[in-house]
Amino acid sequence: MKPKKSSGQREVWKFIVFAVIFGSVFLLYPIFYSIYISFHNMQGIQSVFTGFDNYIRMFHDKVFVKALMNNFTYLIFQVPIMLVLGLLLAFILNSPKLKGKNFFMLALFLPCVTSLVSYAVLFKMMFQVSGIVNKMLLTIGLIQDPINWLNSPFWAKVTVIMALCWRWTGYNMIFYLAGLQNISTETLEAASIDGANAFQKFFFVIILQLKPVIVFTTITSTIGTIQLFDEVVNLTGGGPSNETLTAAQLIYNHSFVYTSNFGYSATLSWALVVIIAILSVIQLAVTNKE
Amino acid sequence: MKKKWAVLLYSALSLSLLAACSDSGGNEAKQSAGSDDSTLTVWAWDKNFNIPIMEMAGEYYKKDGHEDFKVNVVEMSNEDTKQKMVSGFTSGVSEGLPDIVLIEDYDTQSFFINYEDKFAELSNDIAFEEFAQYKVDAVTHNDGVYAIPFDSGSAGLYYRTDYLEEAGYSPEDMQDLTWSEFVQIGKDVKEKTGKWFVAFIPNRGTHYMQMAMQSAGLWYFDDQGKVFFKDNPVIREMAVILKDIEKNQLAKPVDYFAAEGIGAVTSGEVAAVNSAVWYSATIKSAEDQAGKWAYTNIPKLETVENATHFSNLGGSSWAVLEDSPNKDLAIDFLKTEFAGNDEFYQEILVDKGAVGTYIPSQTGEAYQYKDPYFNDAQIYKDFSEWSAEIPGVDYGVNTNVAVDALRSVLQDYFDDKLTLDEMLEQAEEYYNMQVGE
Repeated sequence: MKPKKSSGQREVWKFIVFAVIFGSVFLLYPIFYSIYISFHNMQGIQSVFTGFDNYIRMFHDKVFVKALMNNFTYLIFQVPIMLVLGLLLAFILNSPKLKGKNFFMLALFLPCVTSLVSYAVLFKMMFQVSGIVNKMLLTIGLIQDPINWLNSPFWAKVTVIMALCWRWTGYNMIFYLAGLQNISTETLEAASIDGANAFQKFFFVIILQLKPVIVFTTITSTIGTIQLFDEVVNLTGGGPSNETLTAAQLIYNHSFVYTSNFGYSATLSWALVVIIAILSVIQLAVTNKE
Repeated sequence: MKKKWAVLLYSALSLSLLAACSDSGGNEAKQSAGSDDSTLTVWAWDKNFNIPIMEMAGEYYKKDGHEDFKVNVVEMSNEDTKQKMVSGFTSGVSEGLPDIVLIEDYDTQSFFINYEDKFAELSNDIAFEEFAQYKVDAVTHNDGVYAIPFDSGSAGLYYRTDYLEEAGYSPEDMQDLTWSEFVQIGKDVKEKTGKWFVAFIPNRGTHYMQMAMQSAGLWYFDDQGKVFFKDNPVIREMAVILKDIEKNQLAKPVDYFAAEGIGAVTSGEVAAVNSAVWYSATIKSAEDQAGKWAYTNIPKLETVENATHFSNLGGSSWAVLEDSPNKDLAIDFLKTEFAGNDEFYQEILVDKGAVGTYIPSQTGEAYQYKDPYFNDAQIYKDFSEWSAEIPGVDYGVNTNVAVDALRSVLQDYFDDKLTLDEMLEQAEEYYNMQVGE
């Protein structure tokens, strides 16, 4: 005889049903539909089933590879710089001796509540050939000629990285600060009694206890960088020579700038999903092993 | 058992809620696209130009005996207009879209080919022989005409007479230049005055390529619609010109039509601008520079057969949506004002500097206007006369891909990482990859 379901279980279902229906309509349907259209080649409203053609095309698409490489460049340089900087700032802000703590916290957090477009426009103005950054660098004698920040393949990438750090460091810092405040002072005192110096305390006591927060910020920053769009579009438009183009911008171009090939866009989007999933799994695995 | 019913009821309720959501969305959308049969919804950009002109046309139509008529112009950037149209069309929704939409001429073919049946065919209602031929070509697809040509992108070379004089050039020297002479003058200006010669980012300078191509009746594609970079004589000549401009730092590297590009021109940092007649409004916004600007026709290509001094940059047209509930009214409105009202054209010319491409209007008095800003030159008469000489070209569906393909390689060519041949080959490869060929 089948065991009768407890009434508790039924109560639970009542709560779940609405979410399930909502989720299926607005979450599952778009997901499955995007898989469906990724097997189609579309030009405007003309859609043709092409099997795996889009996927084969993707592997031969040098522009997509270049865009992905740019994403990884940002990932490799920007994410570590930003996270280390965030951690250091959080450490300083957590010091009980610091005066004007609220002011610094506000100043560092303000960039991430600024509108994405307006800060990109601001950076674009600052980093022009005759912009304020070049003027400052010339005045203090650090450079002889103005740097063409936004139009040189190398400096354009540097500018994007700086812009990203400016905006997101404060955001990660807040997580670290919350994490730091949860670390009990006893563990630090114990370390002091054992004769640990400041560096040892930082690396072996604080960092170790912050590990879950660090894993979280690393994964969210990785996802954010792989999906990067606004900054690049507004600062450099992907140029010069596609040196700053990101995968998300290419997907946008295929959807709205070129011939509205949503099929190919969906294919590229799925490639990004897979890449992000793999990276997240690796990051979790690496940190769990230790 | 009771509980089972409760669950069923709950799910039915949530489903009906969902249905209600979509329903109210639909109603709202209907309202925006002309809820009654005497209001037209129009999507357009530029609140100094297209939008007030459309509103003015609405006033004229009202005066012409349509008392209840109202035109509801929604301001939307060119990018947003495209995005919303594409999203609406591809999802099969006709509600929430406007009755009339402004389309930039470079995008018209792409819209009319990719979204056939979405735009009303107008050749039975409107006498298109009365419009500049190159504009009609841009909105013709499969022998049908799908939009009413509006403003002219007739292009010219604007220059600061005082800077040029300082560099040793008179207005006579500026007549009928070639592109290499243009660059040489730029070098002299930079050397003698220390000013930038022009303002645009050379590796994004495809608008120079486009002006030059159209001046010779060529485009990014050949007769079969295949990409035409490698053997395109215009691109070959202009790539060298752009490289020269870049190498000699003659151009202030700022986005040409963004605030910083316009600012560079209006603040007096720049000596020359190659652009369309609609750019004169931007130049004139710098009132302190009145009398210091002059204009002439654009430089000519040296190595290309049939090259002229006349070309087009930008310009747009009004299209009517086929599924619009007010389609007939929209067509009649456009026909009455944009394809028949001389007085309206005279007013928008004087008020907004809008050179229309409706030929009968160009004999009107306003076109004889001597502009004190340009030392009493008859700027509208000149530019509209030039527009009659502009060679027509087929912009095709993939102009935007072609633009990106060229932009993706130009900097490497400037930096000597690629030769001219390698660059064009890579650009073709890029193009083919992006259109999936």
